[in-house]
Amino acid sequence: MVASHSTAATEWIDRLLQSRAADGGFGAAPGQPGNSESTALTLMALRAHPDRAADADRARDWLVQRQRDDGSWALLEGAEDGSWVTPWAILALQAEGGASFDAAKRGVDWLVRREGRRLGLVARVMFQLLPAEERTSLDPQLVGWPWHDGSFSWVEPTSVSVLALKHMRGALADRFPAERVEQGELLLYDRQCDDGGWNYGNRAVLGEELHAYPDVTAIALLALQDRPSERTAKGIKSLEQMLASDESSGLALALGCLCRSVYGGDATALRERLLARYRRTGFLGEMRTLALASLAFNGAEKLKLS
Amino acid sequence: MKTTRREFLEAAAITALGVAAGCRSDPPKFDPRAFRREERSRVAVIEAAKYETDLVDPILRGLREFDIAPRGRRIVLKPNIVEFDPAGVINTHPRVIEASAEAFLRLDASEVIVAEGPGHRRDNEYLLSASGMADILKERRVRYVDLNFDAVRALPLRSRYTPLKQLYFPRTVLDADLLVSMPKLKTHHWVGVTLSMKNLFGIIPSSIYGWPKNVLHWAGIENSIVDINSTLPVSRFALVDGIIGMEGNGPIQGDAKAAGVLVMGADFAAVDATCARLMRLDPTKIEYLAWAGEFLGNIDENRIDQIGVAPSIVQREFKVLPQFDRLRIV
Repeated sequence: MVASHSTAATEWIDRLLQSRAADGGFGAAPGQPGNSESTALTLMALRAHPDRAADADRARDWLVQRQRDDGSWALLEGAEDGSWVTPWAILALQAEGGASFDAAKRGVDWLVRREGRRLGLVARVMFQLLPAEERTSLDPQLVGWPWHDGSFSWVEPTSVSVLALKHMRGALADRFPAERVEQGELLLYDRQCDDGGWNYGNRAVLGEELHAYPDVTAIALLALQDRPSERTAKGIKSLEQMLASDESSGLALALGCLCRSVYGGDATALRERLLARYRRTGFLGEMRTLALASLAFNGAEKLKLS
Repeated sequence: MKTTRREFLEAAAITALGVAAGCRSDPPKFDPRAFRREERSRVAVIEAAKYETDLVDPILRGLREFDIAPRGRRIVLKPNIVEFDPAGVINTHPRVIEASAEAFLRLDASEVIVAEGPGHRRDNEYLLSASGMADILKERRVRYVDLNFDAVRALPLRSRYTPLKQLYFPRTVLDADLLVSMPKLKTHHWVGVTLSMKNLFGIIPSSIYGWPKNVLHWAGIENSIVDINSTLPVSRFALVDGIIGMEGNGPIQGDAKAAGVLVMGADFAAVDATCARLMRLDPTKIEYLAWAGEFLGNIDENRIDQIGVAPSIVQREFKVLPQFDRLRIV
């Protein structure tokens, strides 16, 4: 790591810690209450800095204490349902060992039970009767993971769930939910845009193609990192093209760096752009981006499958 | 046999609701005693030819027509920011947002906040930077709140157009003294038009409901629009960016359509009905506006006092997708 990168990573960690919520977690932005996603990502970022072990322990404890009885995590205290943040918590805690690892395993039990909504029989028949140009161009029978209970499967929650489960594969042994993971992968390929990347989860609406987003594409590629294929390669190419454009963001660049690192590429130039971006915008104070940027500079291996 | 997507969604919803309700007859959608619709509503249509001119003055002229008293109040501007669009057609134009912030501050608002919860993209930094909004916010020192990640409070729904019992609302919106819905004047490929009422989809937090706000789609887009608008317990005002609108396959893939107006009012149903007429669409044929007209506001033109330029003078024929030809004013 070059000196400027090391300085930036330390600066970002300091900034995260300065913005820690009063409840001990990390929020979406400074002044916001702690949420499970930002706290999970910050925990991973802190673990890459051995001198911050005590702060990491505190973030870990916050996360473990917020686990619901059913094994899930809600984003915020006060939200009733376990949610899409659960795989992020699993990812952060599975590397912690001990009681935290047990919490991650309980999270997996919940995650495996969680499914995107399926079309009922009548709706399936009706869907088949729709003219092609009026259908959304995706396979409604594939089941991944939803953002919210009772809704459809979408790209980001499916990607993070697949990634978290793959990280737990060794520990789960014969309990590894291979069919769910495979179905999740199929869903991701089904939702791949014609340009090769991914957006929130729709390739086309009313016959018109939709374009991909770099941040979601990077997350999907992280989930598919152990699936070398023509389609995965197309996704990587799409991501690189999107990242090459001038208009970008800290979030896209941070996830782009992580993705490139996980796939064995050289992320040095992207890190330079990420740093320049931070100097210009401060990532608008978004804590999730700060944590991901910190990981991109120091800790990308935490998302890499062994 | 072929069916349209609209018929498909309706049939699926009816089936689901019918099973859930044991095929009993529907209860009333709202309690008429809980809502008070004004006898008449005022809507201002102010001409503004282009974004490059002074927009503060026409906005101030419009605001002064209404009894909204911004002095000392916290104003939350809720624009429509969905996707970055170099042509400036999808989103509420940053110059309209900037001028509105300036106008409310000149009227001595204690604070102006810009708040949005984009429905498709999580990446606020990208949306705000690419659109130029981030620079404006910084220059004007206006705070921006990502409503998708704000603290939330659940509220029971005050009408029953959806099967949902409650919805989470962001604290910034609930704490506003005045919420200003600032949509773009657009057609919409699922519900006909998207205006100040539909713009409130953006206050429903995606951190709870996801991107897109799929729960609201399953519950019915039109139904959700009405339930959100009936439930939100906050004073509100609408300011529609109709300088350049969108026609055809809106809200994202349509084409630019110059209309040269800003439309304002406190009755969202009346504002949206006027906007529909400006697009030469009949609001009584737009399902959610027709529902809203029963209890939330006025859509009958005989109950709307038009201020500023007469809608008939600035009316433009907006193209719609073929399935919405039936909405045209005959």
